[in-house]
Amino acid sequence: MRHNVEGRKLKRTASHRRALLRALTVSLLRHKRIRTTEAKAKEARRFAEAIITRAKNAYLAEQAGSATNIHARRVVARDINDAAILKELFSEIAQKVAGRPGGYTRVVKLGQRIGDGARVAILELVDYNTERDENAVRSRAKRMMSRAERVARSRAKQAELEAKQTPAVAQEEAPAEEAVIETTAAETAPVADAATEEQPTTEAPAAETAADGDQAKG
Amino acid sequence: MPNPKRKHSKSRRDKRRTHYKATAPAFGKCPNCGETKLHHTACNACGYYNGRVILNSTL
Repeated sequence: MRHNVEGRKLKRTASHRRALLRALTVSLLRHKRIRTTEAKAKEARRFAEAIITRAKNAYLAEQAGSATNIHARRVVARDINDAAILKELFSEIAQKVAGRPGGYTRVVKLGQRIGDGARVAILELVDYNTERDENAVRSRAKRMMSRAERVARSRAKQAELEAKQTPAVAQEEAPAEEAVIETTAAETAPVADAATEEQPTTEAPAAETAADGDQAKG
Repeated sequence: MPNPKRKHSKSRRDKRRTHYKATAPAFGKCPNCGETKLHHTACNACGYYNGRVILNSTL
């Protein structure tokens, strides 16, 4: 059985899959962002991150004074079949990602492609897409605040409505001739005053007294 | 091998299928341009996702 085996097969043989992931990774390092299917993007991410980490570690060691890490370059060169990209990876890209503990890439979903309905995504190097418009994103703090504000506003509005409604009801009922209704109104009025101060819980008893009065009348 | 004695009628088949229902995808509003978009997906109208330009003319 194939339980808990990580990674996608992508409907390819092992060699075909390896070739695909290498090609995607080289493209990613060359162009910094590529558009592919969501599944391929997520697999290529795994593949590319390991390679970038190796280059980053070699770069950091070399910066710290050790000799050029030829072994690391050879290991990476198995997958990166392009001398220029290899050079860039161990210099510029490694430098850019040096401060990052992994997570050099980002997958952003784009929705479905028209031709075959495949889910498409963009895979990009995080450090090469630096423009960020803070106005276009609602920060978590902002969302939380607005939610609290919304609740407070709706509560205030409800309290205002109740304050407006309950005295009006009492006045309407008061002039009625039958004694039962008068008692209802008399009972409601003080409770209603309390309701304006204390909020919805007191509303329920008021409604009940009204119902009781009607029953007594019947 | 045991086999079904009778063919399932159209009625039984169709009754089984009454529970096959399509569900609508969850839509949200783009916080940048207000356009309707799929959740967790870059906005098709303005190309933004989470405050970043994701789509532009190069891709």
